[in-house]
Amino acid sequence: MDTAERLALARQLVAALETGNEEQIVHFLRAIQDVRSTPLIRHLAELTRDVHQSLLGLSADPQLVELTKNNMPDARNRLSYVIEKTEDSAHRTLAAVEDMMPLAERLASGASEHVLGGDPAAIQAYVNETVVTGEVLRGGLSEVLMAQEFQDLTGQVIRRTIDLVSEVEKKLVALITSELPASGESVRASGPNGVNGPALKSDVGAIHHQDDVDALLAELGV
Amino acid sequence: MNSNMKILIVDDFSTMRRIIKNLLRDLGFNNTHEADDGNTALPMLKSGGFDFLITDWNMPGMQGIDLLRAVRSDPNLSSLPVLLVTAEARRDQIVLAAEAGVNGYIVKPFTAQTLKEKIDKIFERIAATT
Repeated sequence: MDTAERLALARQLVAALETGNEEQIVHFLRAIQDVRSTPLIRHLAELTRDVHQSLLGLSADPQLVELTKNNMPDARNRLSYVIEKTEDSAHRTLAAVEDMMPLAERLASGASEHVLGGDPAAIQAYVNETVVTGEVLRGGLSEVLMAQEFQDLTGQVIRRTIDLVSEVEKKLVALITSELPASGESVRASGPNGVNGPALKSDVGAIHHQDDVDALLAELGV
Repeated sequence: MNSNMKILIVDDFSTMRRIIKNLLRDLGFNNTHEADDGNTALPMLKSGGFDFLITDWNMPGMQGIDLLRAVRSDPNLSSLPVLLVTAEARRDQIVLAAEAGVNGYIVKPFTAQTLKEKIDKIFERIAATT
């Protein structure tokens, strides 16, 4: 609506006010209001349509459905596995250190007590004890070594979760910019390149004990 | 089994390579070398002299299963003993590895004892067939 039309509308309103024609006053007031609100209503309508289309896309996109239904709970399970594994590893390491600490202390105190004391029988007993203690310490250090395997196993799980989060982020960005592809390669539950990472207790189809792996290999002639 | 045999350890996690290296040293094997995936490992193997390959499956770049296949298809490497040490534990994957010609398969997490047993078994079999 241009300025001349607006001016005409204003004049008609003034005329109606002067004559006191209530019906015309209401009519012209509404017409003036419409001039302001039309672009806003149009904008709202556009927004509503976008949201509607996005929501349709949301339920129609198989990848997003897969991400929400399966991959997110799967990621939750896998992150719980990370907590379990790191906790277990910390306990194994701490237990080994707690076992070894008094032995190391006895080795040190025994050396000053017996060896420096100079009694040959006491020195012999101390040496014998050292041989045994040395073996126990070696076992404890081996345990600390093996407990570090958590880093590899949890690292694999976290990598997969990062991939999943990136995928969800990409899909959400696509939704916001309304460029949602109709379909696409879905994020495979088994991860890229057909690998699965560490098996969780809940993984059906995974073998959970080395004995079972050995039995299967024996069946296959390996 | 020659305790001086040259062993290549392939894993993308340096912590796991260190664990295996330390376990092997405990078992008396000191001649160990490391690679972080199949692409790095293959040229090392081709350059010669390796007696035993211990590899992970899931690695960026070339995966362990592809490294195994590459080894089996190379006339100079085809008889190299290969032990997979991996978190991959699905039945179909173990079958796949067996079909590709793996000599042993250990599922992570594993114990020092398991590693020793599998290595012993692999070399006992080799000794029996040669």
